[in-house]
Amino acid sequence: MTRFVGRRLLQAFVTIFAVVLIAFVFGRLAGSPAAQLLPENATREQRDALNAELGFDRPVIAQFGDYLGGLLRGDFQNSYRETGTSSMALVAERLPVSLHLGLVGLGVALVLAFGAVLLVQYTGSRILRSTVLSVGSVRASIPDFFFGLLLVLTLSVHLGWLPSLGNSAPLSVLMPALTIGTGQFVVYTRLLDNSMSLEGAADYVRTARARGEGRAFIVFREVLPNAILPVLTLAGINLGAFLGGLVLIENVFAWPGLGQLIVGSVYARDFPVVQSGMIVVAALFVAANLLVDLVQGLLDPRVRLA
Amino acid sequence: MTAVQPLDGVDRELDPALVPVAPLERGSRRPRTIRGPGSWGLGPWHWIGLAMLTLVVGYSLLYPLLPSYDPYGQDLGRILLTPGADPAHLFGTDSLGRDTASRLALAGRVTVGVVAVIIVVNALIGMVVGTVAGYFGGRLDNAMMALADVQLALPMILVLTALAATFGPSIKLMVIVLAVTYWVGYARVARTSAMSLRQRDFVLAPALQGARTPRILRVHVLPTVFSQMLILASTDVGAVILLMSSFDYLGLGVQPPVPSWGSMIGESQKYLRQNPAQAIVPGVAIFLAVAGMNLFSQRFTSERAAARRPSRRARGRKE
Repeated sequence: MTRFVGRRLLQAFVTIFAVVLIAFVFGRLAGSPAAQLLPENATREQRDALNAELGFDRPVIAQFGDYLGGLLRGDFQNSYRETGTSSMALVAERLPVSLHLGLVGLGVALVLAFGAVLLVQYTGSRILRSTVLSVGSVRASIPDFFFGLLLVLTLSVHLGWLPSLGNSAPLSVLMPALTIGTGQFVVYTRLLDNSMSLEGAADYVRTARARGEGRAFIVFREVLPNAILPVLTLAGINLGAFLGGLVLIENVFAWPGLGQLIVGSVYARDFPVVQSGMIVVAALFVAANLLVDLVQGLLDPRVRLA
Repeated sequence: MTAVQPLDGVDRELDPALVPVAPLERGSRRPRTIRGPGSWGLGPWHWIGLAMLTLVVGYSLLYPLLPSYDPYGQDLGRILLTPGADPAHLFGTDSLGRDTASRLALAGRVTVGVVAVIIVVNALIGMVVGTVAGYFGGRLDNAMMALADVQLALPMILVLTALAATFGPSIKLMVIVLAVTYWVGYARVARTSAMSLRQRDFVLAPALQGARTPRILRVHVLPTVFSQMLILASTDVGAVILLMSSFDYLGLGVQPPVPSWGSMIGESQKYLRQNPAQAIVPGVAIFLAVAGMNLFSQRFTSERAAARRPSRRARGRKE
């Protein structure tokens, strides 16, 4: 188990390092931020002074070394836009807002998906199954941003039930969370249904039936724990797409989270904030995947040995 | 074009596109298909999908032949017309008074072109990388899978946003970013396929007879991998249309004045209260294209999918 954990930690470290490198290269590709930060009529001397202050006059390798050294000391560089504020502080401020939306959305997705699939498996109804899968297919053919707009159009423009933008009202999380939740619902329904159907044909299920176990026992206690492993793996893989989708949804609903901060900072060339944001997103992804792997290793000895 | 299944027990990797194949006792029966004479192996849902697809593609190709086709002409006196308000503008006009019906058709043509380029490039890169990695294995294979992990950790929207800020957003940039990043899925399938193929007799035999590796790959491995790539590509079209329209919606893809379905929705979002049809019409176009393609492409995947699901008869026995 120690070796398994160690290998996973090493992989996580490599992934984060690669993301730091990519984020850094993107920042440097854009050139010096002096043009953005100084007034139009700044003199050449002022520019040079700023470049020297930010370290832009040094070789790129040295700049990367400085940046990495800073990271190790917990220095994520200050934001260019809000001078004197650490870029990580800005990111940390927005992170809970994004996590709020992301977790509510994921919660909606999991409740819907597990509810629907378990109901299908418990009743064994073919009609229910094809209904659930068809609803999922229809939703999967609608882009998230358009689904969000349709929600706004019906729930807030026509019916006037919900506020459409921002996160000021307590209920405003509902529409973006529903958009994310139904989008993810499709993914998890298919995975879980496929996995449970495969497991349902296994020998141990036949044995349980022969023992005279009830349907509920077989579905919930025998099939579900086995079927959940592959779903867990793919949930980890799916997380990258999920975080990307979050960026989009935040823009549709003007939700002031991490995604909006990063997109806004990119356009303002506030690269320290972009870098810190990307590092946090990658760290979230890696941490969640690590957690998935470890939980899996705990649940299934075969994973540890693989 | 039958897909060769990985040998049972050779590779049980949990790949979204290659969920383990059900062992013989459950999946050996060929799935019942709805193939009648003259039906081209298409079931009712395939036909519905094909009809939806034909509607969108046909409209995009044929509408520009009409005399009223004018995607760029502005008429500030006639902005935000609702569909049907003016017979000259079938779907009304946008906030600059441009004809939505014409812009919808042009956007459709742009979508077809962009999606085709993205998928062909990705399938080619993925096929080559995946086949080489899977066939040779070892360090090369590890390096490739590590690269795939890094790509999965980076939300594509962030990458494209960062690059768009650096180089300025353009359709070229979007195609390049998607072309060099989206191949991981293809590579994984090609890899799994090549890994199982290299142990098959018809690949081992020429190797024993002294055939050179490039020839074995070209003649014996790639054709099989290629058919899998085709299947995957057909299921991927819908996903790429969705991805592209998301980028266009954020203003990172197709640039004005050229229209795209995503950017048409983005632009009309501001006027959602006055004229919701301007957002709904392109949204429906996206839906028809994606849903149509997804339904139709099941024609190519259903046999494989049926082989992995317990057959209906087998399940019936247990009930």
